[in-house]
This record gives sequence, structure tokens and C-alpha cells, in this order.
Amino acid sequence: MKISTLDKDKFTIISINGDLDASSSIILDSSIEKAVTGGGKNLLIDGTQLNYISSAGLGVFMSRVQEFEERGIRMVLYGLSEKIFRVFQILGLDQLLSIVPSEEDAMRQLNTSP
Amino acid sequence: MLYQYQFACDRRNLKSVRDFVSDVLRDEHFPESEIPAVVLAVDEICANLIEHSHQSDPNDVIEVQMRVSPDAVVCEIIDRDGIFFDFSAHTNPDIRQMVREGRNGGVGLMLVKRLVDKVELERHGTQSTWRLTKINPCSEGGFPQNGSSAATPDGGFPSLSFNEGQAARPSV
Repeated sequence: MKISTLDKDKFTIISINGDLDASSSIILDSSIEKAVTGGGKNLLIDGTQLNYISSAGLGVFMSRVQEFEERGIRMVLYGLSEKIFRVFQILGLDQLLSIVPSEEDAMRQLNTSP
Repeated sequence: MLYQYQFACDRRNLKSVRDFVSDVLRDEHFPESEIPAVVLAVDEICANLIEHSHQSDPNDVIEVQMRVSPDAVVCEIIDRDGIFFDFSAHTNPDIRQMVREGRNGGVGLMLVKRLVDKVELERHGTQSTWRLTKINPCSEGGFPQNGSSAATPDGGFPSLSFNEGQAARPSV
């Protein structure tokens, strides 16, 4: 799995390429930590190249929801394939995380939400 | 036909386990729509065993066995000398509560229960065997009868099984 981080205007885009499993999830967690430590307040998680996710990968997002809410950091996931989205759905995480179809939708959401 | 795969207890081997499971299912013409669920379920059990039963000791080995019939695929994950997990004590966690607490783990088994049609755990002495059954939705038969699923081997415990049913959930 490869992670790339790009600052674009007020957004920090973290793109995941490959499989997010018990072996690689720590890399994503580190990338997210680095982004917020660097002052990122608007995180976009680009899942267009995400091929696989297990509970370890889901846990990276789950563990940040409350913390980000308290710190005023917003995170939106976008570009998930149907196969990946269904894994979130099975556990009901699609209701607890912000997941939208595209990058434009994600930026729009962060621009319009308080 | 029986397919077998052994791997060392290192999380980096999970990708090869997933490749093994998906290759077998494709070779056996299991419905493509069902393959991701089986792959993920086996991955979750193996990841749990690597971390909790073997503390990621690469000197330890886990074996995956698969049998595919027209009715179903049965995957057995065999842990010959690990720490026994009390599956009977497992209850599904409250996801909302976990999110509120900022927890990053503990949902793997709940996921497995929702991905496959039957989850069983048997113990024979120091050996634990997880058995995951996924029904082929294209078959016309009923639930497969696995000869050993209900057996209580000498010196072991009755198998513990779980079936959440699949009526209300999407396949992955």
C-alpha cells in the first residue's frame, strides 16, 4: 500500500493506493497524524485507488471521529468503490463517517458545513 | 478438492493469504460477487490469530484449508499451538460506543459473523480450528452438512457456532 499526501488550498488530501489491512493500517494512521499535527483541519481521504479494507483499516477512521470532533478537524472520505463502501455499511460506519462519491463532493461538503 | 496454505505469523503475509483464498474460489468458479466476503472473513481470523494468539511471532505457523462444493465453501483456519479464544463469550460491540471511545479495534469478529453464513470454533487439545462457511447463493441445495461440524472430539469442546443470518445485509 502507498500513501500520498497533498495540500490543496485549505484541504489536505490523503490518497490511499492498494490494500489497507492489519499490516498497512499503521502507515495510514501515521499519515493522518502527521497531517493534523501539521495543522490540517480539513482532511480528504481519497479512496479511489483503495483496493481492499479490513477491520484494521476501518479502525483507523473509527478511532479519529470523536477526537476530530473535539479538535475541530473535519474528515471526509471519497471515491470508495462499491466493494469497499459495503464493508463500511456492514458495520454501520457509513452512518458515523462522512463518505461522499467524489473529491468535488468532499470539498463542497467541507466548504458548506460549519 | 482440499486446498491448503501455510504461512508464518507475520501480518505482512496476510496479502498472500487473501490471494490464496481468492485464487481457489476463482479456480472453483465460486460466484465472483461472494469472493470478497470470504477473503475478508479469512483475513480477519488470520489477523486476529497472528496478533492475539501468536503475538506476531514469525516462527509460528497457521494453516488455511478450503473445500469448495457446489453448495458452499468451507474455510478452516487451523492454529495448532496458540492461545484459545473463548468464542462463546463474544458479543457484538456497540459501534457507536466504540466510536465515542475512540477505539480502533474489536470489530473484526462482528464483521466475520456478518460476512459468512456460519462461524464455528473447535478445540482439539492445543489446536483451535475456525470454520467459516459461505453458502453459494447460486446453488439450489440447502445448508451443507459438514461431517465434523457438530462433532465433539475426545478431549475437546463442543464446537461453538454463530450464524447472524444474511437476510438484512448486503454481500461485499
